[in-house]
Amino acid sequence: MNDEDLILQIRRGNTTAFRHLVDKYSNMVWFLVLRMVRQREDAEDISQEVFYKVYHDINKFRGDSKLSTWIGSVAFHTTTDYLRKRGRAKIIFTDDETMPQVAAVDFDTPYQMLKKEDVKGLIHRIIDNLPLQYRTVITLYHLEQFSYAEISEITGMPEGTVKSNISRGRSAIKQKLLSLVPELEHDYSNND
Amino acid sequence: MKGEERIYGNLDQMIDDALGEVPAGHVPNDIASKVLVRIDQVPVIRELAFESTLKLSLVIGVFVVLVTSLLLFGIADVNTLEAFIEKNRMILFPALFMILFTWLFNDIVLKYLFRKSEPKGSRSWQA
Repeated sequence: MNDEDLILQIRRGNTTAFRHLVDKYSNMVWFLVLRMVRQREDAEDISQEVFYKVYHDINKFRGDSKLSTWIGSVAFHTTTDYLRKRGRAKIIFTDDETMPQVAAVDFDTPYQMLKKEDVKGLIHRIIDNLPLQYRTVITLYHLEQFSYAEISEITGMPEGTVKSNISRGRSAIKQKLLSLVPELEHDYSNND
Repeated sequence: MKGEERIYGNLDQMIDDALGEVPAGHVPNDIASKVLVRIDQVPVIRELAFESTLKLSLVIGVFVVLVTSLLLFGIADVNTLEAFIEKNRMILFPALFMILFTWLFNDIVLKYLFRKSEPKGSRSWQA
């Protein structure tokens, strides 16, 4: 069933169609929300709130954008509202010229014992310690596979800011990774 | 991959791969059920709260009319009423609180629990 059919059925009050929609988009919503709040319990509550809003506001969806972009936008705004209310984070999504600061990451596995999967796990931990705006756009771009234009639509950031935030976020991840495991620089020679 | 070119060296490629992989941990699989339960509950709570407020307003209205009538027709005066309330406040206020509490508990909590257990109307597939 395509998105247009799903929307039509949900508007008619069809709960089975709503279940299909949740199945289709729950991964996207879950991973975005979890990356933003970093706590499973909060992420569960917010994900439910997102789909509750989607169900209620489905009549407001005019089809100007893709359904995934609209749901992504609902998830993004619901999560930022939640964070703002909790005062857990200063929510500023701007084009900051400086390199983002990654919070401390504990890592003490000797390089000789390090496997590729460990490095990937370490990268995930570094992402979780990036400032909110960087981990959000990086998740939307790399994990959810949204384009720059779609991320701009979801977050309300200009497209240029999205691009520079992704680029700076990636650089910060690489920098932090190399500061924790300097040997990677020699073993993984870069082509760029 | 959509539109934009993503060309990186080996380390960058590894970062790119890691960024594209889903983080550890499972996605909750009962989101839809929980949301649908909430969607069913909210109108019931609203309806009960509305009913209860309406009844409460009615009782307050009747009480106000009664006291005003007593005063208007000279059956009682303000001083007598004041003295009566002052004299019996140790009984009147707890009694009023108990009545309100019992009423609200019966009207909202019990009815809500009772209605929740009732079978819902079918909202199955409508092609």
